[in-house]
Amino acid sequence: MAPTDAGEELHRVRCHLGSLLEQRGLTLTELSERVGVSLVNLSVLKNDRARAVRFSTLTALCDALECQPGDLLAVTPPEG
Amino acid sequence: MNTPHTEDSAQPGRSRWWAWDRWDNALLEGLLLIITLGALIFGILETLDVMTAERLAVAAVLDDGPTTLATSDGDRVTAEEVQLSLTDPAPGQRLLVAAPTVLGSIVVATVGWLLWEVVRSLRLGDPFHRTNARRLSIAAVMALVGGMATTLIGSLASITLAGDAPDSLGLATAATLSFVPVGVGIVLAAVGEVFRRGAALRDEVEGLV
Repeated sequence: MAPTDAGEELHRVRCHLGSLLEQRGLTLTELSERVGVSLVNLSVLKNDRARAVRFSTLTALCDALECQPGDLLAVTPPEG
Repeated sequence: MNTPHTEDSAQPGRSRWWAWDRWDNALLEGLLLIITLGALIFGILETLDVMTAERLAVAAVLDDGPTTLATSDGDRVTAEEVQLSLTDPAPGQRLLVAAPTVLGSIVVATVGWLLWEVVRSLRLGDPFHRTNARRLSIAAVMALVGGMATTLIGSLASITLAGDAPDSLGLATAATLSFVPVGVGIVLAAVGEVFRRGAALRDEVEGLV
């Protein structure tokens, strides 16, 4: 699960943006220009530091990467 | 992807003249710095003047309020306050005269400095955080308590210094308080609460992409 600064885990959502970029042969900078989301925020998403995603961002990413939300995000099974 | 449409994006390069921009920020920062430094310099210079002057003027209020007096040529004048002149004042008297000025300068400089920090964070693009809320709370307390203390000390100092004057002058023996610092303090506290709630909202959307 994604930890917070206080050590409390909030969610088990993992982002596969890195692997999708590799498969599509895109850099994060190119994706940022295509979807209109800042490089900083895409980096936050890619490194699993995001806590929420706007539907508009999700739509733009899926359009640019030609994928579905389930290809981009997945919920990992609970530990234990 | 559809980007949100705003008036500014509809006409790129043309901003509203009344919109807050970096020049307004710079102007306000400059004004607050001038107030802060000005208060400090004024306090220092006034204190030095009080400590070295051969004669000091002290304002005192008449106990019975405005008093009508007859002049030597038959005219009548109304006096509301008198100016006492202390010749070659003792060190203690000098301290009493200087105390309100020193305290007032510290209060104004501190509040000015704290507000400058808040306005500076506007320019840096991230004003809604708990540090700013804390700065405004401190400024509110300084304005309210420090301001009230300054007026009270000034009033008490005048009473003490006027204590050596003849009773026949009828000088006031009660302290007067100004509630302007209370108003300023309450406004600053309210703005501090706005920033505190803004910081809470900011925390909620932190990490939102």
